[in-house]
Amino acid sequence: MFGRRSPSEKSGGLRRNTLGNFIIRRIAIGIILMLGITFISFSVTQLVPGDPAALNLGQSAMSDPTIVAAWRAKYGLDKPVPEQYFIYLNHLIHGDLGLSQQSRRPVSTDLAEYFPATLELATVAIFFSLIFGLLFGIIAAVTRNRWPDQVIRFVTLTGVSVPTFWLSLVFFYLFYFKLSWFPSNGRLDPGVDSPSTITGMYTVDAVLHGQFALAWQALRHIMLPAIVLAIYTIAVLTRFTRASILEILNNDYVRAARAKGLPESLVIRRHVLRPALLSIVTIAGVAFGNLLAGSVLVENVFSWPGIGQYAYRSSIGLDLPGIMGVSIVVAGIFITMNLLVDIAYRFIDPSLRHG
Amino acid sequence: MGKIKLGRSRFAAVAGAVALVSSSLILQTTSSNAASGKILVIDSEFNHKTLDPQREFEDGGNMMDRAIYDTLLTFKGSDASRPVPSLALSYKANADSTVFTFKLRKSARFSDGTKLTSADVVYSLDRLKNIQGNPSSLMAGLTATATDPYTVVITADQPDTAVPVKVAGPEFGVVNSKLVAAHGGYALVGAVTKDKAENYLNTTSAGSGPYMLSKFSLTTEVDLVVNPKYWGPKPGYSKIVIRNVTQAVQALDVQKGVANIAIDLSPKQVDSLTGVNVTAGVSTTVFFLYSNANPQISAVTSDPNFQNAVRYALDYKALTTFAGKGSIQAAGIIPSAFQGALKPADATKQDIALAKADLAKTAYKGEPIGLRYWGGGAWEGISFDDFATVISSQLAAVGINLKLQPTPVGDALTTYRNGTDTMGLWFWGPDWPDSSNYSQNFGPGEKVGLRAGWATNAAVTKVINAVAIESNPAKRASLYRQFQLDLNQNSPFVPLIQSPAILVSTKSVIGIASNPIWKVNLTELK
Repeated sequence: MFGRRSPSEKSGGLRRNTLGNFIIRRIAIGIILMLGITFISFSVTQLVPGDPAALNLGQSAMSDPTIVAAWRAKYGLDKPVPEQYFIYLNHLIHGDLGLSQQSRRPVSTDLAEYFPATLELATVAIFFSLIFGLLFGIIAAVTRNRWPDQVIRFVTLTGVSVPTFWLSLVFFYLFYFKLSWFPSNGRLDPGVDSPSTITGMYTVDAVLHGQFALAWQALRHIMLPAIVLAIYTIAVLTRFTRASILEILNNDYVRAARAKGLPESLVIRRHVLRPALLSIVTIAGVAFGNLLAGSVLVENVFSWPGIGQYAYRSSIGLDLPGIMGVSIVVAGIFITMNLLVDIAYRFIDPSLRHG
Repeated sequence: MGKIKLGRSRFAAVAGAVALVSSSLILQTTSSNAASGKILVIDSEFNHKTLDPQREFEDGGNMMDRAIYDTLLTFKGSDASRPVPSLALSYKANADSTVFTFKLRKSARFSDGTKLTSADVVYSLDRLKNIQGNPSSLMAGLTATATDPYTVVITADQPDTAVPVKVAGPEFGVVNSKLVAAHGGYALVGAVTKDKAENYLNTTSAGSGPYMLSKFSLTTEVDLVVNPKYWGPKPGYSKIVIRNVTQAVQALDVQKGVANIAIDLSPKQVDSLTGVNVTAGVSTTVFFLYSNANPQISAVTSDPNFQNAVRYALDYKALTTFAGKGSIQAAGIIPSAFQGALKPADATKQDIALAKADLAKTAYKGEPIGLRYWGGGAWEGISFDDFATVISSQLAAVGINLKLQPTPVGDALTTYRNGTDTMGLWFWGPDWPDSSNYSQNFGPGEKVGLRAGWATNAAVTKVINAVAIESNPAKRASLYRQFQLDLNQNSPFVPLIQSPAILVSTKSVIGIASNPIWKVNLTELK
C-alpha cells in the first residue's frame, strides 16, 4: 500500500512542490508589496493640500465648527496622521476598508458592487483583444511588407494613438446615435431591473437565473464600451504579436521546418506560435490588468458603474478611504495578474518549471 | 477530427433558428419595458450623495427628494420665492417673525398608510437639526414643537423672515418617524452619532410624496415609482428613471427620445439640437469676482481704488455673451428672482476711462495679481478656465495684469475659505431661496465677506442689522436694495452674471419648468 513511488511520481511531486513554493513565495511578496502600496497611497493622499471636509460639506456647514468637527470625527480625520494610518492598517487586517465619504457606505461594499461591472467589461474587452490582436498580428507577420501588413500596421498605429475618451464619444455617436446598432449607455435599458446578484456580472447572473432576454440585453449594452476599450489593447497585441513572430520566423529551426516541406500553416502553428506565446501571454496579462484598472474614461462616457467611475468620484471628492480602497484593488489586480502570468509561463515553457 | 460541413439546407435551418431565437429575445426585452407602464427617463449628471432628506444638500438630491417627501410648504413651477401650501394648509407668523404656526392637513398619509401628524414633522426637523449634517445649519436658531396632532410651531431665537421659504426646502422633508426610528433613526441631541438611518433611507423611502424610491445608486440610476397611498392628485408617470449620464450623451439621448429630459446641457449644446423643447430660465447662481480687501494679503487688491478699477473695467455685456443665451448680468449679489433684487438699470456699467483713473490712484505698477478659481471646473455649463481667461483679457485692457491660478476644486475651496487668495472667481447658489441668505453671508465680517478680507464697514452692517429684524416686505426689499448698492460701490465684490438654467425635453413632456431649488419638479410633469 505504501510502496516506493516511481521516479515519475517523484518528479511530479517535486514539480508540484516547486510550483507550490513558488506561489507561496509570490503571495508573500505580494502581501509585502500591498503593505508598501497602502503606505505610499496613504502618504500621497495626505500630501494633497485640499481639505476633504471642504469638498464634502456645504458653504454653511463648513462655517459651523460643530458640524465640521463631527464630520472629521466620523471619518477619523481628527486624529494625528500616523495614528490614522495605523488605525487604517488595523482595520484592513480585519477586512475593513473604512467608510467612504462619498457614498457613506463601507468601501468594501462599494467595491463589491462596482468591481464586477468592470470585471465583466474588461473580460469581454480582453476576449476581443486576444482574438483580433493575435489574428491581425499573425496576418501582419506572415504578409510582412505586403498590403495586408501595411493596412494592419496603419490601423494599429491609429489604434494606439487615438485618445480613448474621444474614441468613446465618436463610437457612441456613430453606432448608437446615427446607426442605432447598439443601445444607449448603462448596463441595461432604463428602468429594467438587474438580475439578482450572484457574481455581480449581469450577463452571467442573468444566464444563471435563466433570464436569457435580460442576458441578451446586458450583452448588447456591454458590446460598444468593450469594443472601445479593446481597441487600444488590440493594437498593442497586434504589434507585439507581429514583432514576436517576425523574430521567430528568422530562426534556423523555422527555416529547417519549411525546408522539410511542411505546410506554412503547420510551421506557423507548431514552430512559431508556441514560442511566441510566452511573450504574448506576458503582454496579455498586463493588458488585462490595464483594462481592469484603466477604464475610467470609457466608464464615464458609457455611464458604466465600474471601479473607474468609483475611482474618479473618490478622487474629485478627496474621499481618502475610497481612494485607498481602489489603490489596494488595483495593486491586487496587477500582483495577481503577474502571478498568473508567471504560473502560465511554467506551463508554456517546461524549462522554467525547475528554475 | 473531421471538418464540419454545413449543407445549404442545414445552413438555412441554423440561420432560421438563430433569427427566431434573436427575435424572441428582442421581443422579450421590448415587452418587459412595455409592461412597465408610463415611464419618464431623465438624464442628469449625478451629484447627490444620499437621499436621506435630512442629510442631502445637492440639487440632484433635491429633485429626487422633492418627489418622495412632502414639506410643510412648497414652491410651484419656476417660482422659488413664494411658498404655497403643501402638508401645511396654512401658516401665520407673529409680528417680529419669531413664531410660525403651521396647520397641517389631516388627509396626508405616508406610503405605508400611516397618518402623518405633527409628531412626524417635529421628529424630522429635530433630526435635521441634531444630525449635524450638511443642511443642519438651516435649522440653526430654530426649534419645532407640536401643540396638537395637526399643529406645528417653529420658534426662532432671532427674527427670521426666511422660515417659510426654508421649510419648503427638501431638507425639511417629513419622514415617517416611527418607521425611521425603527430602522436606526434618532432625532434628539446626540443624533450625530446615534442616528443610523441613512442607509435605510437610501434603500427604502419613508415619505408621503407622490413617488417612492425603488432603486438607489450614486453612479447609475435612481428609480421612483408612484406612491399608491398618495394623498394628493395622482402624478403623471407610473415610474421615473433618473440616469447618470454625461452632458455629451444627454444631448444625443434626448434627441433620440431615449431620455425624455436632459438636465445639464449648456447653451452652446442646446443651440445645435432639433426636434426638442427647450425651457430656458435664469438660474439663481451668481458668479462673482472679488479683490481681497485684507492689506496683509495684498496691498494692491485691498485698495478701494483698485477694486473700483476692476469693477469698471469689465465688459458685462461680453460676459453674458460668453455665458450663453439665457444668462443676464447680475445687477447685484441677490439674484433677480428674489425679494429686493436690483433692477438692470442699477447694474454696474463698464467705464474704461473711470477704471484707468481709479487704477492711476493706486500704487499698482503692473505686477501680476493672482486670480484663483476652480481649474478644469464648470458650473451650469460655464467653464471657469474660459471665464477667467475672458476676465483676464478685459482687465488687461486697462493695465491690470492677472496671473491665472487654476486650482483643483478641493485646494481652491480651502484657500478661498481661508481668505488667502488675492483675487477669486466664484459663484454662489442660495442655501435657502431668500435674500437673507445673501445679507447673512456677503456682508463685512460675514462668511464670504471674510473670505474676501472684508472685515468691517459700519454703514453696510447697519443695513444688514436693520433688514434682519424688519418684517415688512416693502421695507425689507428696500433695505436689500440698499445693501446691494453699497456692495456694488464699496466692497471687494463684483457681481458678474447669473447663469442660464436650461431644460431640454422631448415633445411628449408637459408641465416642465426650471426651478432653482430642485431643477425640475417631477411631481408636476405629465
